[in-house]
Amino acid sequence: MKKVINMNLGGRLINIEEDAWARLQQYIESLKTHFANEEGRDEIIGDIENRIAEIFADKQKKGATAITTADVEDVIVSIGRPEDFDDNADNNTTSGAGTQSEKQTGNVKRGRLYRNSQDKAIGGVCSGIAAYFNIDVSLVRIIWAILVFAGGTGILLYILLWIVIPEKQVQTTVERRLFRNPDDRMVGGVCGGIASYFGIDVWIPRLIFAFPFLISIIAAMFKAISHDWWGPGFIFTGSFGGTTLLAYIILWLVIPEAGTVSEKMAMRGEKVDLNSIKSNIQEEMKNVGTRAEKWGKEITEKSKEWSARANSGAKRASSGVGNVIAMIFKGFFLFIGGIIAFSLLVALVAVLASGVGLIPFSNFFFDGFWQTFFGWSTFIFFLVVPLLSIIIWIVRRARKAERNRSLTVLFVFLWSFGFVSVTFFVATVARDFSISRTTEEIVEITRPAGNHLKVQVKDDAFETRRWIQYGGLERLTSDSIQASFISLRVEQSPDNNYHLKIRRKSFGRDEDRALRYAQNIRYSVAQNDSLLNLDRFFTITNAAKFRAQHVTLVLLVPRGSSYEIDESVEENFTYFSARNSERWRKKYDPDFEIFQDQNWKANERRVMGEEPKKPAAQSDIQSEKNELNQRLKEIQEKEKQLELEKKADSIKRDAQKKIDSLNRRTGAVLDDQGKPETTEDEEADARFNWPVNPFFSSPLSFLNPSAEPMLI
Amino acid sequence: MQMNIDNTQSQMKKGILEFCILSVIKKGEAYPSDIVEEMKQANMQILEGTLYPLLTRLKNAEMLSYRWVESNSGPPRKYFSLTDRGQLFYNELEKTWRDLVAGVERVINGTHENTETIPEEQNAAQKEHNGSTENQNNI
Repeated sequence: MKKVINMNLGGRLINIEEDAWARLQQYIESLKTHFANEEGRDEIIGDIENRIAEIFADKQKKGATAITTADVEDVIVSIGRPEDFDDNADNNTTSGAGTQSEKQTGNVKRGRLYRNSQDKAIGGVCSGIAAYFNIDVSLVRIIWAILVFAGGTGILLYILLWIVIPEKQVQTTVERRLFRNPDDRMVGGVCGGIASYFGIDVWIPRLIFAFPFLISIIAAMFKAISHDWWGPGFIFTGSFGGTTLLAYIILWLVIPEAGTVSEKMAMRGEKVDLNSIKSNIQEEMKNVGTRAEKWGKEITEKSKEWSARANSGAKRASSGVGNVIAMIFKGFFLFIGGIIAFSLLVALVAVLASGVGLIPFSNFFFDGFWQTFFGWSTFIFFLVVPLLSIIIWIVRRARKAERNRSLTVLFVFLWSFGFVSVTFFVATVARDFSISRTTEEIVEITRPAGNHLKVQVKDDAFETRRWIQYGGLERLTSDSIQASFISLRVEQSPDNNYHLKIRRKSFGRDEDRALRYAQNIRYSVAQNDSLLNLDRFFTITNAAKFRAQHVTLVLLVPRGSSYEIDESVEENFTYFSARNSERWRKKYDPDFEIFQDQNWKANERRVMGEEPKKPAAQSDIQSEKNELNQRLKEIQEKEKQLELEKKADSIKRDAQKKIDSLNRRTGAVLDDQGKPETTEDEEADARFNWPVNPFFSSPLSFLNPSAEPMLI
Repeated sequence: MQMNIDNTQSQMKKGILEFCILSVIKKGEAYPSDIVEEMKQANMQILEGTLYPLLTRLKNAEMLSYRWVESNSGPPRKYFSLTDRGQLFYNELEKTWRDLVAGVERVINGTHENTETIPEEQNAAQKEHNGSTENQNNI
């Protein structure tokens, strides 16, 4: 409920809402200044007040309980703003005096740019500019402050303008100024002041300032519940929350509080004079136009002399052709422009979407306050604002709303701030990628059995479920990044052992940082005899920033030893995308040779030092065939050997029998019945021992132990 | 180009504004809102903010007089009427206007037979103008 006050206007008592009253006071004040040099000024004002009172009385009679700002605006439209009055009509009756005195006070609408000696903080440049454009000096000062912080250009510009622009007393005509609102405050009244300045509801600026905090509180709650939770909640945590806080404090310091009644009125007064900016510019354009016209006239007169005899019919025809050509060109440019606009929009949405996805991990990308600041302002003002403005434009267009100039100016202003941010952001980021450092670690690999090493990537069954893929950025958490910017090469080992070189590389602002970031890369491999397991990612902890870190693995294989690289390596490693750009590499990456394309084929067993047979497919079959043939031969040979052995056995047995029978005949045999049994045992023994012990191989010595004493 | 047309049109209208207002008042006592309304119906928009100063100036030049009339809907209203002096002033203006219309018509229709009339009219207008400013300066 708004406060309603009773007002005596033209002898009538009017119930009017407080802000409507302030608006009305302000309007009447502006009329008073307009008619300041008029003879019957008070009478005119009185008449107008009477008329307004009449209109309001009529409204109340019709049932209105109190006069609202809308009613006041209606009255202002019907009576007209001072700037809408036809001043030229005055010249017929009371001319001269008024306009002359206006000139004397320097209150010329279209003046030169002066430094304002009336209102100066340093040299009066800002207030001079404000007076020139008829806008609030606070606005100019804030913009200037931003420029000062943005690399000091503001200071240089200020000094330059201070020198160039002459000083003068300039009367400012701005009716609305930015104040902090002491009546509508929660902290410092900044939001209230902004709201009344832009004529919006106070909750809008409050939300803009408070939203980041609310979100970070909610995010913190979620974080407390589940540590791994991440989502839109992280979006505004950390740096951004701090930025709005800082902005609030700065505004609190810069903007004065509306203390007196007149200041309060100025706070709610006339809309920020964007209209006056526009009319100023229009006037300027008109001046340019008249000058151009004069010049044009001279030109045409001259040309008329020359083309006095030109056929008018021919002229008409040629202008017709010209129109057609102009139309075609226009259409062509419109078409091209449309395509460009559309593709820009699409690109914008894409960048924005990927940006949103990366927001939770901004700490990995931004280094230092200014980069964070410009990163965020780039994101918000350069990407979100245009998208927002397009959406708003479409919505307003669909609802056939009137063009809102202050909205346009606001967006243009915000976007140009975004443009500044983008410039600085790119500059700081480029610096962060200017230097690169590489560390090298050599991992000893114990010689595997079979002299063969197979390299593969451990699959840890992790699945990426993100809706946006970032090349090799596989897993992002608040305290680490896992990336697969890894490449593998195979080279010949200088000695007789397998080795693995792990080269970790990073960019950075300076050598220290680049080296530190490179050392921060965590990557390890594990050997399991003939199997070399590579990690699927390397990990960057939040002690480092993401500065295009990547890992190059060089497998050193001794000559003559074999190796095989599993297809899982190819599938899981993401090569750093810049490797494709030769020029980029040569320029920015001094040790670019390590980025060469992979020199191996997945799932192919190779021996170091041997040229692979070509073509691959045929050689594969051939080698398999050869192998099989070889095995067949081996088996056949074994068979032959076995057969030979058998043959040899049977021959020996035959020979034994013959020997036995010969022995029997010589009469050394004692028992006829037991003899065959013993012979069989002896034969088995003999067969077992025969190839091993040549001593027993002599049947005579074995079979005649009892014969020895006989011999002796 | 568009802007120039606007400019010229408003210049034309401005010149005849006082004449129009006086002619409305001549028909009888008039309240400013009535004047605005009547002008509006004649498709000649005038802001009240422009009208009030004009009326005050004319009143101060003793072309107009007014009287307060109690109204039932608001504060008492000022009703304006022509003074004798205003009547004379109006007559002069009317004559100028008629001559001007005739002259302009003639110029537009483009007959070169009577070239003297146009400067004559201009002179008359000039005189009238000077006269009015003199009057005011005297007062």
